[in-house]
Amino acid sequence: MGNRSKQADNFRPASEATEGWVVSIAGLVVNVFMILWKFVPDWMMGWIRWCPTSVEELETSEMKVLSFISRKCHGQFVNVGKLWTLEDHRMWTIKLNADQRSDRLPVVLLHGFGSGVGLWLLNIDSLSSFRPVYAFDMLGFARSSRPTFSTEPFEVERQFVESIEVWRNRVGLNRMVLLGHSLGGYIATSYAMAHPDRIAHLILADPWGFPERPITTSHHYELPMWVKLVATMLRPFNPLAALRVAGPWGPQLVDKFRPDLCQKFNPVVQDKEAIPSYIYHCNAQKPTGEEAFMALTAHFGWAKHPMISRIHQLREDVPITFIYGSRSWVDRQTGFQTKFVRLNSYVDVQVVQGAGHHVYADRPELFNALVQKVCERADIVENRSKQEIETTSVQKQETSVEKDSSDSIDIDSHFDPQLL
Amino acid sequence: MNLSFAGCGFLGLYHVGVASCFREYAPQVLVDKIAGASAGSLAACCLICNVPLGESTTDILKIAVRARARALGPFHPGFDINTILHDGLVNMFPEDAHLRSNGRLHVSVTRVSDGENVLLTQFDSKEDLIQALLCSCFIPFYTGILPPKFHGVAYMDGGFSDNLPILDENTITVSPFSGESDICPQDSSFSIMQISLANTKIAITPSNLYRFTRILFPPHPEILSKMCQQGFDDALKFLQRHNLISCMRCLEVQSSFTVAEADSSTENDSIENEPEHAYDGCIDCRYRKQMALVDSVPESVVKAIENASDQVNKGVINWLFRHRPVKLLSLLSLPYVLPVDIVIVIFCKLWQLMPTLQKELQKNLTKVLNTLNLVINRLNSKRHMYSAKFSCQLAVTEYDYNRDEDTLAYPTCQRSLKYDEIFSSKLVSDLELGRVKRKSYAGLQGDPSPIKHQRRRSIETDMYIPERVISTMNLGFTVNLESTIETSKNKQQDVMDVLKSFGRDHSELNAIDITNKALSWDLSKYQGSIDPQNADNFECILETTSKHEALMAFYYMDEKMQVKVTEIFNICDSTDKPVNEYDSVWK
Repeated sequence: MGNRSKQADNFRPASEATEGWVVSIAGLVVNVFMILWKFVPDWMMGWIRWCPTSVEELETSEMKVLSFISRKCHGQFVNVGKLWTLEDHRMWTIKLNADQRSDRLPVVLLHGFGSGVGLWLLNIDSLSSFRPVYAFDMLGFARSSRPTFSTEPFEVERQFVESIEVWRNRVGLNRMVLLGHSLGGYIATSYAMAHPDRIAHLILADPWGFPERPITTSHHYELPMWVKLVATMLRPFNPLAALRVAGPWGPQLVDKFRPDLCQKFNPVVQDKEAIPSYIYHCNAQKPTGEEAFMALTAHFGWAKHPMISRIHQLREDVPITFIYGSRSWVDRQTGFQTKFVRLNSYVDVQVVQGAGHHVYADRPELFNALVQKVCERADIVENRSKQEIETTSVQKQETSVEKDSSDSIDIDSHFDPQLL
Repeated sequence: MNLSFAGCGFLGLYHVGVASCFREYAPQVLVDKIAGASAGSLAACCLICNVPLGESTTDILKIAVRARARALGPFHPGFDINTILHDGLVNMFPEDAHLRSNGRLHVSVTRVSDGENVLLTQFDSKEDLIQALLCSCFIPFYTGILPPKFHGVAYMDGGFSDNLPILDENTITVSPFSGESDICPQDSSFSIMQISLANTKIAITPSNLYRFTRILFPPHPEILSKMCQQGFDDALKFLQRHNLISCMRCLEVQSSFTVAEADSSTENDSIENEPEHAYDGCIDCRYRKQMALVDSVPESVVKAIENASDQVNKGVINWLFRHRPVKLLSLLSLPYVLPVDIVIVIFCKLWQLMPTLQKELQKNLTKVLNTLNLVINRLNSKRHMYSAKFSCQLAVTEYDYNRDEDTLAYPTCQRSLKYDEIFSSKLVSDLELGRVKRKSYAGLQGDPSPIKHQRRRSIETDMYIPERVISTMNLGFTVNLESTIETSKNKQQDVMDVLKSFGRDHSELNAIDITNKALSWDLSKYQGSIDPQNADNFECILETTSKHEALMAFYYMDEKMQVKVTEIFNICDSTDKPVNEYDSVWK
């Protein structure tokens, strides 16, 4: 025994050395390949690509989807700077009714996992009739640039929040109603915690990442071994990896497995191919957003750091409205729990009957009416607080105004008109 | 409010749990339409027909246990789910099941021909209803090979097109897969990924993966019972959340209320913040709601499940088979056992089919015989059943009474007429006039050669005696009718037709004309030759006519209303006189 271990000890440095060699050579090969890949001309990419997708195709498919909006829709890339990386990044933004200066609060829409601005199709029209509406693609999703995120959940959150904050700055919004759906809800909450001054009202539509993973499994029956095995094997993969692995068959996969998504938009979108192809192109490209999402999750979709345990960190004066779909798999209990956690602040939980996880598309009229109501309330509160500030302390008001103006100057200085 | 149950195979026990909860706490929901596909349609029908749930549970578990009994599970040849299901349903449903279900039960099925979804709502009889349910439960190659038919159209499982039919906006959807349904299990995993299969939204979670494998391969009754319990719990959660639990008294009041206010109320509370109960003041309701929290699946269902698991767990054989080595052994012995099993199954099936098979065989046999008969008849019709020949012959022999033969230099002529085009049989008319002893011959015949030969012979026999015979005229024709008839069916009639058409045919007339002409020409020659010299011969003729019986006599009336008599005598055999024929005209 002793002999053997000794032998093993003797051999170890050698094997480590070879391992190091292998790793370094592999790294070199990969690097060389990456550099060569960059030199492949665009026209050749069409020949050697596996997934039938490209930035241009995504753009055209999004144009097709957005063409069903009756109001004039202004789209632009907002440069959000280098952030944590070495390159400049830009976020695709659409604005409606944002030209004239109104005293109403703007609504900023934050899409969910694996989608983009196009899926707000049924909402932006009616929402923008009263107030400015902004919607953007989160970094790593849809048409925005796709930087590599951290693998540490808090860091990922911070990166998202940072990008949104810069975006807000560049677009020139002071206070807003932030509406986040699914993953967007999680990020929005995180943003509200970091920058509560900017949030007039937080609307969370079927937010992801609130509940904690139950420690004692309330399972009625134990799953067999093989199921657990399969689940464990699938865990390291990105959620939508199958879509990209399928390559040329990917668009069909969307058609096959998410016909419900397309059905939701059917009354408005005449072109039946528009929505599935948009969803496909959103997700068939470099999945950095998905990687970020994977970093946030543990055990099939549970958040590593669930919001419900941190919601008390949110400043008390930020009002929250939860909008849940009655059929959604998202547990709405956390909404009510939030109510109890934040006894001193405004928390409202609304359930839209007959709607699933995609509340905004399942019952768009109800959802829009709800959001409209919430926004009106936010407007009133905003005006009242402004008046209060005016009447109570003049000094404080002055300083705040100064601060505001300095902020706005800041925005202007950062603002690059060429990019807009 | 309508209910809709998703198709889910053996996970149907989940539906039983949901159904028992609804029956217990919210019977007001069950008065409306209930839809379902596959196993969901069975649950829906059970709810509508008020079948005791314990009984249906027993039935489902019985099938599940039987499906698990064999080594190949439900694919074992001895497991015939269709028959078991059919018998179970016949026993379970009341006689008026179809009347109760009409218009209320919606069975989702897939049309085999085009894959379209169809909702069946009208059933003529109990058997009809059961047939519809069987259609909805038909999975190709699992339950059978040929899809069952409902009203003459082949259907298969509704799960292929619409697994969770949604009737309107107020449809409560029930699905045993965690996903986006009103009543569905909440999995401990929280997947953001979802797929939609045939209208059923299913989250991609490990538990769902497991459930998927259990659709067709039933798990142990204990696991099924847990699923049932889960269904009950989920349904209860739903009812609690929507404040649908009321005491009996309130229910009665409510039911009378909702009839009047149904339309206005349903629209208003589509956005609801956990809707307020209309009878919050009622203590009974609150009490009932509280009690429901600790309630579980009704006793009858529990008992049925216990019985089933006892059946599986108790007994030495079951104990044996619970061990892995024995299981392995049974799998290993499969190649030896399976052929025997298959043979047994085939024999059993044949035995069951015996009475019907016999009838079928008999029917088929008579059918085969009939067709054989028909075929033979056909063949026979091609052969000549009989020969229809129509023949006529007229022999005329002409004598030269002057010895001087040189004066009569008759031209030799031969006429033949062929009517191949008219009759497919050969129709030959020969008119032969002899050289010295003129032979005149006209014939119509089907098969000319033998007849001709015969005739020749007869002519020859006639010929050697007379020296003074100028011409022998033999007129005859034979019509073979069969070939014209062969294609037709009604032979008799056709023979008549042909005979009728005979006279009409102008070329036919020609033949007769020609014969007539030949005759008259002969006659004129003959008369021309005898008139001046043959006065003495007249005596001779008179003698023969008075002595002999006429061989043939014609009496006819001509245009001038004169009766003419023509007599033909045969005198060659009695006397040596060469006179063969005598022709006279009486005026």
